[in-house]
Amino acid sequence: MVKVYVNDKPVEVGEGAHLLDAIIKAGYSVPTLCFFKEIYREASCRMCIVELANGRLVPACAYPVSEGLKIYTDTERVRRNRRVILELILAAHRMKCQSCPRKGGYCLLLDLAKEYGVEGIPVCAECPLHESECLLTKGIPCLGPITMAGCNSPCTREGTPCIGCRGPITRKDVLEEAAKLYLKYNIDLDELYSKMKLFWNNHPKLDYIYNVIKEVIKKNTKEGSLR
Amino acid sequence: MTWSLMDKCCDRCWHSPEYPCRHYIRCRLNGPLCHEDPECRKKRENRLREIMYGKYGFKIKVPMASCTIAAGAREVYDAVIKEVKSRGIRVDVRKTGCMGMCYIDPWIELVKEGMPAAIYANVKPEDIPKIIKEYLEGDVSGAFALRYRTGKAKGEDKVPLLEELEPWKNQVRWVSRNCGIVDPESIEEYIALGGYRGLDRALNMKPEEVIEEIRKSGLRGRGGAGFPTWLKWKIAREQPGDVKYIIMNADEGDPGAFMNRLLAESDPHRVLEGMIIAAYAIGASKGFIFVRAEKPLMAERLAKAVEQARKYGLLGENILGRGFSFDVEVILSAGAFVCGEETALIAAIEGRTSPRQRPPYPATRGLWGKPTIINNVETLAHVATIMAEGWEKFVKYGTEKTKGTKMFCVTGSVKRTGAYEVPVGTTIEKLVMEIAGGPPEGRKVKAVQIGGPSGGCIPASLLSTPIDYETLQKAGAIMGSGGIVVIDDHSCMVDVAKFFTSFTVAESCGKCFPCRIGMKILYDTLEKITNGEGTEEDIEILEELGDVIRSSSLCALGGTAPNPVLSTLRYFKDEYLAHVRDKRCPAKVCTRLVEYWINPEKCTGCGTCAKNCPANAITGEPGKKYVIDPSKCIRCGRCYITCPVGAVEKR
Amino acid sequence: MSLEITERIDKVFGHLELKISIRENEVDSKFVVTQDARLIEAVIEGRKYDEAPLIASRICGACSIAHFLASVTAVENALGVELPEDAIILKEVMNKVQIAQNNAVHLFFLALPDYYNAKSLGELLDVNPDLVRQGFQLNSLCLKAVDLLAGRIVNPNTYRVGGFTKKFLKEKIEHIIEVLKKAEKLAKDIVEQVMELNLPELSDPSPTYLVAESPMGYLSLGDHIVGSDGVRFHGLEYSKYIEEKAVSYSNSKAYTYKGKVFHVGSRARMLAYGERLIGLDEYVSKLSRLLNNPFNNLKVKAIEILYTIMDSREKLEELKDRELKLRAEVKTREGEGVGIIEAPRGLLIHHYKVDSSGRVTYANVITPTAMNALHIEESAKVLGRKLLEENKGIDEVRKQASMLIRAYDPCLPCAVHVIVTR
Repeated sequence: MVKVYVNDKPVEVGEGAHLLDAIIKAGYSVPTLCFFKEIYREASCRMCIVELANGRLVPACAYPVSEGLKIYTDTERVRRNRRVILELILAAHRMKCQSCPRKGGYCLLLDLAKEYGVEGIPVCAECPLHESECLLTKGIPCLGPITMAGCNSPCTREGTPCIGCRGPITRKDVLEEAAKLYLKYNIDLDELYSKMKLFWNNHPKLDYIYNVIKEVIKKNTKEGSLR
Repeated sequence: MTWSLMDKCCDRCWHSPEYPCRHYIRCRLNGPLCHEDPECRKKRENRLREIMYGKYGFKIKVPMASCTIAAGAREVYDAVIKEVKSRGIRVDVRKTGCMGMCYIDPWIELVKEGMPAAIYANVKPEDIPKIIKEYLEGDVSGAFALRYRTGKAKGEDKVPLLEELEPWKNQVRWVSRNCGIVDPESIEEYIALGGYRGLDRALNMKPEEVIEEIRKSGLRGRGGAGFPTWLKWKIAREQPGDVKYIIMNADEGDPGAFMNRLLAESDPHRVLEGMIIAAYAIGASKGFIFVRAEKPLMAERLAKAVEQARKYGLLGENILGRGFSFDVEVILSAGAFVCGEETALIAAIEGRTSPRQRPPYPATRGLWGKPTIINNVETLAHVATIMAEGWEKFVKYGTEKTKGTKMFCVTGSVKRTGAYEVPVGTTIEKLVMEIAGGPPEGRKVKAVQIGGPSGGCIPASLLSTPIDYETLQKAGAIMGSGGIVVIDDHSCMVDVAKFFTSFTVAESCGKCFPCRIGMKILYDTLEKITNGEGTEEDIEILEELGDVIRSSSLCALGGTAPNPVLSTLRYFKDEYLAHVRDKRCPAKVCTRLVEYWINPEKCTGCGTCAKNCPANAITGEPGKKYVIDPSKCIRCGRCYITCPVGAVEKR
Repeated sequence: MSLEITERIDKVFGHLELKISIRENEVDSKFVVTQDARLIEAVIEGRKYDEAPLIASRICGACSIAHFLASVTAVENALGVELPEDAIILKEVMNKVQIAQNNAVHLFFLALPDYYNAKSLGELLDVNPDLVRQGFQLNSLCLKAVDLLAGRIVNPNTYRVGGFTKKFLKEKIEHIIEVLKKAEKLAKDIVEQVMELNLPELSDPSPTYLVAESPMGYLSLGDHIVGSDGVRFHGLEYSKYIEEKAVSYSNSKAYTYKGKVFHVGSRARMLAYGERLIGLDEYVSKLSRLLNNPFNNLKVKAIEILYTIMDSREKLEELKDRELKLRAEVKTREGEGVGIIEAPRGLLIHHYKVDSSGRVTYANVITPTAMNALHIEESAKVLGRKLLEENKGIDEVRKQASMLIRAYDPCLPCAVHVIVTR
């Protein structure tokens, strides 16, 4: 048996065990994305990283235990690194949460992103309405695609459009994706602006957000059309 | 057929790979050992003299290594052959390797018994007749340098000795002693200059004693990590099991680094010798030389050396009758930079596609799960030399923490680009300014990039830093394999960081998120900044992202990839700020941030600039001065390039 | 004697001071609302009509539902929307359940400690832990019912202008009924206890009152206002009967009905429609002689809790097996509308004018606490005089004055807004 210290709590595990086994036995947890016992232990996603006493960050799923090793699962540095890694994954992720069958609480990636405070996930990620039931398809100006997630989307759950009370997303790429949606379903821009002014009237980036959306719509609309 | 030192001197000699003689190596030079015979002794002496001065007492050496060939050595070689044939000169024309003084390529050396060995620099095929004629007339006044003087040649005193010149005089040519002197494709010449003595000595010791010798020498891995070689060997040796592997890492991937290529092309037997010694020390029975396919001459020369060693029983079963069997296979890599990393290299041999989390380290579980030692080419060259010369000589050079010498390739803005070997602890200033001659006229050193794409930029203010593993790390760079790029005031540090980052982005294996996605975003952000669209927030992103990639990547490629960005941010933050705040590139390199202006005093009114401007931003009439409208200018730089009188200036 | 007392009233929603000045035996009181001005009407004006209820529901978290319903009704009336019967019934149920919840909070957490010699809920926990436990349970059950009906406990999202946004599934209605059943049991027990309380005696100095007309039963939705003098007028005419004045010493305005000081709230509702509470006659009859005492507002509230829960359950039982029609067509047009509702604390009026593009051009909100301000002052004066005559001393005056104010259950955030002078 080998004794290691997880967050200063001593715990004993078998000789060939990895840090992850010790962490679980000690009653703590670390997030994992790629780890799948017996099948995949390649430490590719780097989410399970923990901090050793010498400051080095190592992946818990693949690093072997050794006598007296001290590991810390939740330091500020570890949390910061995990957040940035989540941001990287989401940046390269073609996130169309509006139509993902796993949305509304069944996506580990989005759950982790919320837990670690990653910005830029729209309410659409939590909205239970299917793509075909989306309120935008009925021409209703819903602010879901440009509002910060975290409320579990109670309004669209009841069939009323999102009014943006949690605050806007200011990331350009997310706004541009949303603008394409608004264009697709012919949402009236003035209506949208009126809705945005309900809760975002004094937000310093209100006009920036509106302009980004307007630009994308303008760019993708043929010359001489109505809007 | 000329008798070779490697052959039997007479019938009493019975050595063959099947029935090896223990004293074979020593016997080549000091023999015969098993019988007394002045004839046999004379045979050896004559042969040695032939090797030194050529068959007819006259030898012309033409260095044929990748760099000299690129500079035109093949044409020079052909010209030499043509000249000696047409004039019927009795001379031995031999290939050698490269000396490391790239700025005089192609060069040739003429050696005649009684004459000083003369080196002629920057030789063109048409110079050959004159050079040979003068030398044969006893005149060396046209030479670049002499290896030694004899007092019998004309103009001898006027020509400097090589050892008096920079870059030679401050070097310590410990492992590179044979480079440019010996024919790399001749095992005989290597042995004539004392080769394989190290192996002979090692095989007379126990493997543990070999490890002890290397421990006393303090040799640290020269591939970049600087791990104590003896310790790695000891760990592998102590692993249970009979099957162990040794791998020579000849996958030198840093752009601009060619120390390993130089050693392997110019003195391949030295590195092979080191590999056999290492195999003996750890108990490996099979070895692999993993060499870049993009360096074909290196691969060819190493393969040839292996073949020759096998022919004379230095590889194979029961080497030199010591009961030690070892053989080597040469494997060509597919060219991925990441294969320089241990676990990636092993994966490449095994046919897998990506590096692995360590621990377990290859010394305990490596190739096919067996204990594996991976040593760099230069490290193995040191091993051979230390075993031959003794550890006491090695520790004379170096610092407290790191003994011995290291090879460095100095490129970039210097007068004398080349590969130089100096004691560890030499300051950057000495290497760059004295040995390599400093920047050309009118330029100033701004920074020195050490360690390639995994290394960092050290500003000119820190040039007095001694080159050692720990000191460089503290300054934000790494020793790496020894590539040094000198950056002058005409370069933009942000652009430099962008260049190195683009390299690592292309070379990322893609297995882990931080490196695969993070490095790309780092690159995109740098591009944004050099295009004039950057914000101060982007600089914060670079710092945070760089730190995350460095601390959470799976292997050392990702772990060191952000170094160029982070080190330039550390020392040259003002340049970054100028790019984002003032939208200006202080070094006038980033095309979108440079203002173009026609100097009216130089402008001749030819209108070439206006004709070439894609934005119609230049106005004027033929014969009158032309003017650029900055509001229309898209900063493409066409006017700058096309102006025949250089009247367009950047500011 | 002559002195000025400023009593900061605790255990009320918001910031309130009562200034009592005593000269000889003359007592004067001022209802000083120190809560900051809310400017709600100014926020609503200029918005689209569908946004007005979203803002109105955020006037106060306690009666979010009441403001929302009043606002949405005002808009619907301005646009001439004809709601189906089922939608109106469910609106009423939503309002009733919210009244139950608010009354429970007020009774247990604000008012009852006074009557058990406790200064706060914490002290009440020592004196009568069972009561506190019941209070928490009742509150949480009522909140659950509100949550199920409105989609949230504040800021409803199941209802927008024109009706409910989604079908109410049978399972959901059954769930609400279950919750209400549990609450009913508790409510019965609580009414028993509250009816036993000994409350101070006081005679209403100005027995005039106003209530929202309940066309059928108790607390149903209509569009008229009824006065204690028997006068019945349409909501749009409120300004003819109810006068509004700014008050120099308070952020709240002061109201009179035909020049008289009046009161609104649970007691007013009971006075107007008490006899319609079939099944609760036992309690109603006990109270009927005591309804002239402002303190008895508390007992009325207890009865209302029981009634609203019982009645809501019955209405839902009727609806649950039917196919419900819950939406009507909405067309943008110019118009003017008033939404009249009985909020937990009394009559609430939302008045909007909408232009042809759908924008609200005028908004006025009159809240129950504001309407009660002058009545509170009058009652406090009478109470003060009475206690001084009985030689009860200044401390008793302070104590009972606070208790009196708490009996009215004032909610200060609602009471404040600003007159926009044009």
